[in-house]
Amino acid sequence: MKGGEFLIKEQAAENVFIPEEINEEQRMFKNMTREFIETKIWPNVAKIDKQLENPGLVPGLLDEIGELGVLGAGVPEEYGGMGVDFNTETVLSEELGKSLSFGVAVAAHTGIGTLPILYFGTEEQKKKYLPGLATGEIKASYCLTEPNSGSDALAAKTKAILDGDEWVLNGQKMWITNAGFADLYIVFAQVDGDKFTGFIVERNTPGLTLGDEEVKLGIKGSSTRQVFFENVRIPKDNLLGEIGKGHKIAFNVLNIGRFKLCAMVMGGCKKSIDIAIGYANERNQFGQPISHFGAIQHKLAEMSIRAYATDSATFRVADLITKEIKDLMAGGLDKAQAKLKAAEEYNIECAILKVLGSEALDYVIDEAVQIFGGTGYSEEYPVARMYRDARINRIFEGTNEINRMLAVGQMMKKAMKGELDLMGPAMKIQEELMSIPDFGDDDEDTLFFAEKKALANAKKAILMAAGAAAQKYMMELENQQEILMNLADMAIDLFTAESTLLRTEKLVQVKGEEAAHLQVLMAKTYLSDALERVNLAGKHAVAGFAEGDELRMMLVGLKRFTKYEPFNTIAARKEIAARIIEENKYPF
Amino acid sequence: MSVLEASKRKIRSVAVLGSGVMGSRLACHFANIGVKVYLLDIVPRDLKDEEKSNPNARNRIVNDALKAALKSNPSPVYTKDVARRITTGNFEDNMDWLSQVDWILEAVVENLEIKNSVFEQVETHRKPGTLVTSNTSGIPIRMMLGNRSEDFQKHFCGTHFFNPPRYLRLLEIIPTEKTDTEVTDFLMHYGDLFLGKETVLCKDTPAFIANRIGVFSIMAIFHLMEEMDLSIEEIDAVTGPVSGRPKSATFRTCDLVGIDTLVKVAAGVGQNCPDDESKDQFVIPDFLTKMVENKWLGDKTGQGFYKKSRDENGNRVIQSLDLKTMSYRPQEKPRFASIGEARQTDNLQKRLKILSKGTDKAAKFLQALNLRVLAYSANRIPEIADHLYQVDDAMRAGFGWELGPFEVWDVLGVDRLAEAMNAEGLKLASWVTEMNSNGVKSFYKTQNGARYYYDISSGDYKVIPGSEELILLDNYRTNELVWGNKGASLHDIGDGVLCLEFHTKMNAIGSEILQGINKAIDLAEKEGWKGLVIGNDAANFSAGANLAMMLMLAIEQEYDELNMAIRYFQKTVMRLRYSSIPVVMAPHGMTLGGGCEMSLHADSTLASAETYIGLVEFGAGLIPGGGGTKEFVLRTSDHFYEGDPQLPTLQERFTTIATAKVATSGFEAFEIGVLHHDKDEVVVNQARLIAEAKRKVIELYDEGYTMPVERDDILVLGRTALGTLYAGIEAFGVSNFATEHDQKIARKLAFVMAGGDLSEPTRVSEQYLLDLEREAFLSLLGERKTLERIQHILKTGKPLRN
Repeated sequence: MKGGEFLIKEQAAENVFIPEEINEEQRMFKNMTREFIETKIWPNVAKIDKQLENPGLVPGLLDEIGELGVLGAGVPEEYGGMGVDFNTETVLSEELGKSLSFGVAVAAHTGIGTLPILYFGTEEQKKKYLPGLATGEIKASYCLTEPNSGSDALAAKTKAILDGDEWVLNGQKMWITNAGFADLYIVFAQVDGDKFTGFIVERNTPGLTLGDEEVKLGIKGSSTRQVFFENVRIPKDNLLGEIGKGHKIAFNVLNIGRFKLCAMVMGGCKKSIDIAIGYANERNQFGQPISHFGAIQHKLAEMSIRAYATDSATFRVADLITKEIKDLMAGGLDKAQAKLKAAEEYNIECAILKVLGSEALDYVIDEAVQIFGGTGYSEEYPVARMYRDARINRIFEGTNEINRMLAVGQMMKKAMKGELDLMGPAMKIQEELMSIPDFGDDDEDTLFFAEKKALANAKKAILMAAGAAAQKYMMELENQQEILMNLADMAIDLFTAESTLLRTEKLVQVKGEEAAHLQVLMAKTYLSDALERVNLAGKHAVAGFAEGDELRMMLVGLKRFTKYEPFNTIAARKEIAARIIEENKYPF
Repeated sequence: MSVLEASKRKIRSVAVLGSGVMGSRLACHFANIGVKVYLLDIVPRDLKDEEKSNPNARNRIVNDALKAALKSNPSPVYTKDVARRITTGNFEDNMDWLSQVDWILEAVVENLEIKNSVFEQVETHRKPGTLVTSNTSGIPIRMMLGNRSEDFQKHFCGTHFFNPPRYLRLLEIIPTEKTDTEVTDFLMHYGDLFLGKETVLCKDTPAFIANRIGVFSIMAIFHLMEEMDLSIEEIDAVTGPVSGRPKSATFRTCDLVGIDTLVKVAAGVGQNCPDDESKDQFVIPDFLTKMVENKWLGDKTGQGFYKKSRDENGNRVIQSLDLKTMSYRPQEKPRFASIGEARQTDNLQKRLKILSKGTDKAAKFLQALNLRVLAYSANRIPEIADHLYQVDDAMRAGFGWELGPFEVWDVLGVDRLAEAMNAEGLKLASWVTEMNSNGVKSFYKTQNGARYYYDISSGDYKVIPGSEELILLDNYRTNELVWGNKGASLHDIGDGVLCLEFHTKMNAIGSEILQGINKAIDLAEKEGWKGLVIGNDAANFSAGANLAMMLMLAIEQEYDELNMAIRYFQKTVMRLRYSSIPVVMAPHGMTLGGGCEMSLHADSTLASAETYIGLVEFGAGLIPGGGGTKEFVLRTSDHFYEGDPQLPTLQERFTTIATAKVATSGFEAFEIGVLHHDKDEVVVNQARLIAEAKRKVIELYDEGYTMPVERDDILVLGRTALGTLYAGIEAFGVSNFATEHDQKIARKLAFVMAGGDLSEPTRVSEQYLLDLEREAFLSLLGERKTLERIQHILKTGKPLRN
């Protein structure tokens, strides 16, 4: 299954990786990290957030977690890391996602801070920096955004001029995570005015100064400052990658970044549920715990369904990337390059995950605050902080809008290049629309038959809408942002529903239908709702560009392709909630 | 040209000499338009003694030829009875007939000696003043003047029809120096108005205009395909409809025309045009010579570039000739990104632009071909034609190109291509260079609905002569629309008349078109327009209602929506008749189902002679539901006379619908009761259709148009008719002429046409019948077999019997 092929192919359940399958080593890493966060981070969250009063706290904690090996987990052993596989990195990210601001510092350091050197650095640069980065001795920061270039990153104004043996940098960077304590900055600047290029700048370089800590809505414990470059002279050899190829660095590390962000927020979802159910079971109103009420149960169930779905999608992609890395290495690439290429192959899926995860977390934590009621609004309880901290996830690593456009844009690009055959299946759908459907005559009464058929149909709904939009706008489609948003939403829901179903199907295979009963309910509930959303997003999209009979026909097509048997989601959610209430934590 | 002067001459009868493929069909076409025709050919040379005095035996050649022509497909006659106007005879016994005719057409074998001997005989019989024309395609017209009288020479001209003459629209008129201008003017006018042809004035140069350019194009393709290593399927993929050429593209066309004919014309030009700068292109490639040697002449010998055969399973397959090995191999389906992209749009101009930017082999080939053909065409002016529009007219009408060479050139950019020609080392006509340097950027321009061409002798734009009399919707596209949506555009075509043009896929009628009709009539009524023409210049007027949408709605069981859609259709159709302005329909080509129902309702329908119109709903498992069934019942009722048996009249109408009869010409549409002599007319030259329809609107307006009153006096026969019709249906079923489903549909139709289960003949309203009709239509949409029929039509374009 290549990148984007989920739109046109079916993946067999036995070929997906599910989080229930993590191995002993992975479980060990997970527990170690969890324990660190429970004992070192959670008791200190208030202090961490007051970083100006406790300036050494986060760097110190980074050193400590570095000693455990977490910061160097993904760095190859020859550069002083642990060189764990991608699935293990994912497990780690999930746990780190439960550590609020601190997780942001770790992610910025290990991801966008370290990866540019790992992927694009020269052998000398790797040898010089990676061992320190792997332990946390060197702390990294990534300087891309500027006051006037955020999503439009390539429009950066910071300049680099070669003067003899040195590059001279001038400019201003903004919203730089870890800026306050970083030892090393990955900086993007224009060479000769328009050649976007990456550089490595060390902290103590004269001319590099920092702005004040930003006063932010959330993740107050994460250092965020402006970084100024005033005739900052760095050695010629600190050029990162090739001149004019900075966009490759900037965008490629983001693929991994987006994936990991999703893994982290998925951890955040689970943590939020744990906290919310604990409160709901304790808080009494009208003479009973509020978890006895259907309205609250609905919330608990839906929070868990979203976490379960995000979890399923995350590990599905983790495994696709893991396998692709293996294949690429077998083909002769070194591990770092293989990882880079693998993430690029699944850039559509990474963009989807980023949107999916960050929006799931915002939903989940929002409902957690709601379950807490008035107390949720108080700083005395953790959910207020979690609520604030969650919000940034929809903004950084490419806003969710950018990621939505990217997901669809990449599909179209791959189709144009012939890497992804969307046109062929789209044409077949046109034909199918003119055909009498089977009216369910051949339906089998096997587990998930109806669900698989619904998914296969949902793919057709997307291809129909996307194909018609592409035909209508051709190259202009990239400017039709509203339509791109709708198409992306359809793809995200489809991918997630399918991932959820695949995980559940595999669980049934492994544990039997009875043991996986609640998971089956979650998968069906998610699918049932997702199909409604696919239908609605599809309606918005096609009504945006078609009219008259063509529109009417596509609406009928959407209706046909988003059908699913009636499903009692209230009963399903009640059952799911019962288990959460019983176990007093996120149980899946 | 003065129409008055030209029309002094009347053609009541013609003689066609030679009954070959061309002669026999020419005879049919003259008969088509109501002219008395004498068709003559030689007496068989192998007559037995006892046959020598038998007139039937003596006319065997001509009779056999005419019989074969009448049987040929597509038919050369508008209606079967046309043949009665043709009298056959032979060159020995019947040449005296020539003294009675107004026009003598020579269509004997392409041999100057034989032609001259025929003309010698003609001279002895013809009355002075009688027209004589030759249908040669290869022999210079001036060479037929030797030894002819002055009166003969004055009335002699070349008239080059293209085969089949009923269907191919080009008529090249080639006067000699001696031809009277009155004769030339008359032929130009008569060919256009009466024979329905695009008449193009030609010079007496080898192969005239269309064949000169067309055969050059084919030869250039042959040379280019060798240079660029392309297969015949690949060439056909790019030189077909995607680039504005006919469906038969290049090699299917060659097979149709005949390889020997092609070689003859090409070799003729090669020999007779020593000064042609591109004469090397007329050198016959080896593979062509070999094909002639092998008698692989195309359709007439059963194989040419393509060959139909059967595979090991007995399935029909088409093989194609591999020119490298000169052997047949299975046909391939080439795929090119550029063609795929171009096909996304229905607009030819856009397609041409996409292809001109393509970088794959097909696009590169077309770019190179265009340069050669366009450069060649420019260099032919004024050699073969004084005006560039004559070349474009000839190529469109004679070779089925959607755009002529200069029109294509305009689309792709005059100076851009001129530069490219220079870069390729092609000779660029000096007048084009001059035109470019004078800052004139296009060969044509459109102003106020009139089309102007660049006149090379004056260096200025001039109106295309005769075009003032035509209405080409293309020329109105630059003007602001009165109103429009995605499926229909409302044009102001002058003199207070509106024209609604359809432009959906296959002009299928859906909500956009219905909205367009309602809007057009509303606007006309409110704003005081004189009336409305509903017409278009697409290949077909309309393939009928949008079946695809009905199928989808039916599958989803959206019966409420369907009911609304059909009711909207019925209301719209009724609006065509019941509005305060005259509405004239101008159908042409395929006008099926819903398109036919509209024509039934309009105040007047002006149909092209080439109109294939009918109520074909039965094939889709339905009955006419847009007022068609109602209208047939109404017309039946109007046809009743007191005391006459009424049932047979109803039965005949019933059968027309139940057999999904389609008229094969505008004239036949009267015979099947779709067109009505009281209100409808046929226009032979389709190019004039919209102009004629506009004239009709003004005529109706000037007569003082008043809205008709809705009918409530339609006599339906009720149970009396129902029983008989049911019995007939039953009988058809028993004898296996009708399937179960056929019978079911037929019973629904019978029910509507009888006016329902009424105990006695009753007078009913139109709305009563419309409701019955809609109910039956809807119920059929709930039948699986009907859905299967619709699906089959949508997929294959052909009806399914199930």
